[in-house]
Amino acid sequence: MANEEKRPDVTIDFGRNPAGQDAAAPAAAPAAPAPVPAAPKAGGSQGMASQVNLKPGKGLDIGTANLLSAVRDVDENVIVKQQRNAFIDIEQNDFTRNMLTKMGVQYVVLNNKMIVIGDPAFDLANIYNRETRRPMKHGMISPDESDALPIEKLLIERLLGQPVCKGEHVYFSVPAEPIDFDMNVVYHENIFKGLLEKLGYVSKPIPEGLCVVLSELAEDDFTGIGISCGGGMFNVAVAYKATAPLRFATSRGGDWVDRNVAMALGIKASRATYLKEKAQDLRAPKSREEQAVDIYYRELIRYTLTQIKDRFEKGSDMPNFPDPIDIVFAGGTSLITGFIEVVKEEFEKIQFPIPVKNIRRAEEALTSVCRGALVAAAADDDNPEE
Amino acid sequence: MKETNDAALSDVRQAIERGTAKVSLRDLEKKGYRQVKVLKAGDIDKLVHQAVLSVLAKRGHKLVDESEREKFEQEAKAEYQKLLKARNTAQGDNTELSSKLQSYKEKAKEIAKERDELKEKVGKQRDKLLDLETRRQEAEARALQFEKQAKDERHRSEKANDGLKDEREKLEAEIERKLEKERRRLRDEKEELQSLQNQGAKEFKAERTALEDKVERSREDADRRVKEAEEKAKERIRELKAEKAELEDEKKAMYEKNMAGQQKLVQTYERQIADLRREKEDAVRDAANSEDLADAQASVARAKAQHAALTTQVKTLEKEKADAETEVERLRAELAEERLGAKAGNVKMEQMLAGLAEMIQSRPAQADTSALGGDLEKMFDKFSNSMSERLSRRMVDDKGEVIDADQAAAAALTGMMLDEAAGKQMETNLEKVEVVGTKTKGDVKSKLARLRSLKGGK
Repeated sequence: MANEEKRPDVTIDFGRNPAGQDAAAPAAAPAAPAPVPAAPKAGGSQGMASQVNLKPGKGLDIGTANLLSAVRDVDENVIVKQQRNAFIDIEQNDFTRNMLTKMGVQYVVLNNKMIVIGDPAFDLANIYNRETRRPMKHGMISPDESDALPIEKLLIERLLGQPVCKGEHVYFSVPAEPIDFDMNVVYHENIFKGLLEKLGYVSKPIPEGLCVVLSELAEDDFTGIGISCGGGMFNVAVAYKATAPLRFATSRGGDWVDRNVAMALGIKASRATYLKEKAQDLRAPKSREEQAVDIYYRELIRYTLTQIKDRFEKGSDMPNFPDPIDIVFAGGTSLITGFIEVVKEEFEKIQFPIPVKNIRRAEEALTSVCRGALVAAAADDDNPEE
Repeated sequence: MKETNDAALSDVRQAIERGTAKVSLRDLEKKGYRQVKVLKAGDIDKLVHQAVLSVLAKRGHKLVDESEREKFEQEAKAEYQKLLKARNTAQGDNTELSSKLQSYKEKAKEIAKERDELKEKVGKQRDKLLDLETRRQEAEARALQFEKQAKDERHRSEKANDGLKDEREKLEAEIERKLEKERRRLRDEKEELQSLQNQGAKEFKAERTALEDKVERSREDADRRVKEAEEKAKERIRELKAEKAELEDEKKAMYEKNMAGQQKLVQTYERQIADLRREKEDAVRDAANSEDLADAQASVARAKAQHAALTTQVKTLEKEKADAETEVERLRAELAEERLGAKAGNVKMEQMLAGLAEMIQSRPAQADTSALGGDLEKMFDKFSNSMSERLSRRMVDDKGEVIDADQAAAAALTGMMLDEAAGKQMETNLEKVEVVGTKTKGDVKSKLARLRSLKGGK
């Protein structure tokens, strides 16, 4: 990755395992399985000495498809880490354990089940023609997955590491209330708040859409519309000078495309995810599979824009912008080539109630939300100074 | 004398040389001089020489002083000019005459040439005329011959036409006869076909009417069955709702009651354990402070006895606590089973709803109740989704559920679940997560500066 090439050499211990192994070391030969350490006491300072090069304050994007964290070092470099938010359970025996260890595949043994985590879970699902299991659904902790919470706890613990100082703030993204689906986020928000506090952080929720605004609309005084295109939902924030008086979500996201492509082609959703992520260009499908992806992506975009337009037209809480604003898209679902062009095509077809200056995608769409959360954490006056 | 004459001629030549200039023919042409007269230097010398001789002859050969010499030269020059002029005039006349003669000669040549050409042309014309005359005569001969041949052809053609006309009339009559026969046959066949068509149409109409009646009856029957099924489904949904509400109430009451009782019991036990521990510590402290050894020993013995009694009590209490926890676990398991039962009910209802939706979709496409069918389908889909979601979300519902009525309850549940998660021992090799990117310097800093400037703060 280009950004990695630019990255200056920094000596950080962020993400090290308990044995002190470097997170950036090759994954080819992992060490023998180690028991997960107990979570630090609230406000504790374990491991602080090993993270002296990091500034206090972290951003965490808790997405249906990916978990991402962002943190600053003392040289103002922003370090982003990603973990695919999926797993699959397989038969537990010594042979499998040894094989996974030799292949460098991450696993957890939980309730006598061997659980493979992250991207390898997708590979295994494709090989065995099974579905991956997802700790999150529709942008929230999945009620269908009994193993969701321990897995999420483990992944977040590994992503964030321990606090660099007492009272360090972590801002974590939460979805807004969906306008087309009956759901509330209280349970989800509390689960992650409690989980982060058990890790020793002062945790604060922040709407996903606002994270996009904080990350991408600084030049416009944090005024405009930020849309986070996630796996479970599209989260919208209408912001004026860094506050988001109006925010909501729509219930369709990348997973909706996967499900429908899977149904149309008679394949598993995991396989559809793979096809979607390797599609070349949304506007020029070259195969039956890409055509299916194109059809459902267009429908997703059309549906989302129509829902947003309806919400704007019906609501009395819309801010009156003095000037035309920017709409910025971010999130993994917006990464496909041709996404913004299709958005513009569909946008032309509807009478949008707000004058819009520009429609664009965030420069680093996948990491936009966690970077926005990091800005919020760093800007919090209660977050300890370095 | 000879030397004197030569010197004088040399002077004259030099004087002429100085007084003349060399001009190219092109420059002269540019100035308009197309014809010039040319006097050779030798002729000039000769003229001057003659002029000198002439003057000398008139005046005698006695040039005494300078003035006479100059006079003599002037006279010589004048004489020279005079002679030059006369010569030029003669030469000009001669040139003009030569030119005219040349011109006449050229004209004579041209005239002779024209005359030869005319003679040649006349000859050619004469040949041409002769040729034309010959060709005219040949053409006249050919025309006469052609006319004669044409007359013979016409005669023969008239004879042949008479024979062909008879043949054609015969053929036309034969064709007409055959065509009439074919037309008659086709007319008969057409009449027969028409008759058959009329018969088929009558039979088809009868069949169609019968089929339409059948379709209509089927449609009415299907509508009736759908309505019945809808009624049954609604009834069953009402029953399930009532059952669910009862179950939930019962579950809630039982859970709360048991939880409250068990928690109270646990609190009591814990309080008792704390009291006993405190008493034990007091006893040990008292024993340590005692000055009298006997008292102390007695105290120790008492304390030991107390300790043994307390230990027994603690063990009993711990057993009771463990039993209480087992009871709590059992109640939790019961609750989980009830949830599973509710889920099973939900699955059953979903299956019924799916069957109903399928039946609605399988109705005849042209049924009059299609609009109602579409609405019902949507309604059932929505209802089904809503019920599935509500049941599967367990404690996240907003009505009638125990947990998410307020945030505090949700937080309590979260705490319990997190404790449970924290207690789970996991073996893992998950030692690293992938670093996907790094921003360059100033990214967050510049945004913070902007945010702070918006706030008007630091």
